[in-house]
Amino acid sequence: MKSSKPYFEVLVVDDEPDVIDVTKVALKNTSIYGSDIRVIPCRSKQSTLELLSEKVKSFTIAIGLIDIRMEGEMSGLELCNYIRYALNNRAINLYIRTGSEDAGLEEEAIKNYEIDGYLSLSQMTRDKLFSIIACGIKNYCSKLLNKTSLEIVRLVINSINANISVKQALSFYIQHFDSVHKSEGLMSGTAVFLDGECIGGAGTLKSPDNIKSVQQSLENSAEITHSDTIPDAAIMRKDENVMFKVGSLTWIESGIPDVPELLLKQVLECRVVPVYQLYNLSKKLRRKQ
Amino acid sequence: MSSNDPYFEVLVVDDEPDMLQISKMVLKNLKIYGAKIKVICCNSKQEAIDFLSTENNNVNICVALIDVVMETENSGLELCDYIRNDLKDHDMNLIIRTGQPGSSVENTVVQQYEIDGYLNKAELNKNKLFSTVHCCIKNYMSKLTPSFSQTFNTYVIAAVDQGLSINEAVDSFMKGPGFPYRPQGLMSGMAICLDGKCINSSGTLASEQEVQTIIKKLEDSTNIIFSEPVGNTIITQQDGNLSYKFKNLLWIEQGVPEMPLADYKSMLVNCIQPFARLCEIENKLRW
Repeated sequence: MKSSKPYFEVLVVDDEPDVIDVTKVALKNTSIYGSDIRVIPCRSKQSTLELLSEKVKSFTIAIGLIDIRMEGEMSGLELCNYIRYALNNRAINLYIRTGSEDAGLEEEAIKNYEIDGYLSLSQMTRDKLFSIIACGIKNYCSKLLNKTSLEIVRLVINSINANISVKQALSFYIQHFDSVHKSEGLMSGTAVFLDGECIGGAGTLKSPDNIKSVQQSLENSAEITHSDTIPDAAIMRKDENVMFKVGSLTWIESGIPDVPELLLKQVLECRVVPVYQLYNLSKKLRRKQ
Repeated sequence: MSSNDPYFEVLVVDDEPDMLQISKMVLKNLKIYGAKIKVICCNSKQEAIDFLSTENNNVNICVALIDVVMETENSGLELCDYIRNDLKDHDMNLIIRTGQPGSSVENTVVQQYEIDGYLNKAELNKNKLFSTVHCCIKNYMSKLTPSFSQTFNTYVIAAVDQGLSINEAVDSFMKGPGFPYRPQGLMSGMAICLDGKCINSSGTLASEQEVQTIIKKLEDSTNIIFSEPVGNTIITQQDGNLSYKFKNLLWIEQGVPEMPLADYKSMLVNCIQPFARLCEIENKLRW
């Protein structure tokens, strides 16, 4: 069975190599939701822009720790604006980290930029860094899952409204997923079944053999959670694979860290179940037409 | 200043009266997205629970600053547990104020109770408090519309799947647990109009007359923050009133601070447009 353990990516942007190295060392061997952290180092605003220029790349990064003064006095803050506005990424948690003790600059950054925190390097300890990373990742996971659910439900509604079948819409989503995800790390693969038919697989779940082995391992030995509110909806989870089921819809996700059950229930109840209900509505609509 | 001006609510729980007093003074003068802050003080875990459990008092609180040691060693953490697991409030930002941030016990707690950050009491100054609350409110606001969109979509789709009409679905959503509006502060009222007819309104916009007054006010307003020819989409904001227009749907909210454009666009594409299309689908099913 081909699979890779999920990991979280943390972007560290600083023109001082020491700061990058220390951060790397501090985050080594720490794990959050059972997943490791990988540091992506960048030495300047410009090199970060180049790295992020593949637009979707930025969405797999959970946290950015960004220095203010690099090439220019305000390079770090300009970079934050680029991520929020040009890349339209609201999921990543952005923390400014600076050696400057200028209170006016802190106020300016907090008031005028969409950042999640302003940290002083002089007061940074390993424990403190860990708690910031842990809070940031938790926040990122819920935003990312929520964003993805909204996108899928939106896509399905728009498709039905435009007389495109739900199967076609899901197949489109999977193809899109395959083109943007990296087949490793976080949310590395997905596969969807409807009425016993495989709509498609992407990332690590692209090959039918992989889908089959993951599906079998989930069905044989997974931990099962039933929905409290929806009768035939359930979640099966084993290692980094999760299977959501409702009616004749089965949805498998790979590369899911050991996140709280609550987040998975939200995916079941706010993504998988509405898609299935919309599918039923679309069938009624077809019969009518 | 009109009575419908939005404000953010911040809860401060601490057994030291000085801490409550200082927090109140610092936060009183803060303005975020053009809106002021109202500070609610509680001096124990029990007082905070009594307050939060009354009439959906939790729904408007964006941030809670919570001391750890109060009645007992772990009162603050128990309060976090109550907010997350009993009230099932996952939107409120929880900040722990403690003498020893980042100790191993607390790092376990971060993951267990979804805590959003620490404030070290020893380092606490005006700037730190200001920055923390500011960031938390921005974070809260950036999650508010996606979280509302998700709850609304999920509820309305399920209701229509069960055979309810759009009007019945929206009505049931408004009365249901999905939307405990409080007629003050943030997002204090809303109204939904289809084909020029108001199908539902609540909170500060509960009266039909008030809805008409606000529609008129927004129509006359020149403060258009976004417009797009597709579907005749227009977003207008004036004095804490906000309207989204898309096709035959007019969606009005009252008590909305001046958020970044991305937040309005997110509401438009994730909630307003899908809802308008769901209305069309339901309409086709009916006729």
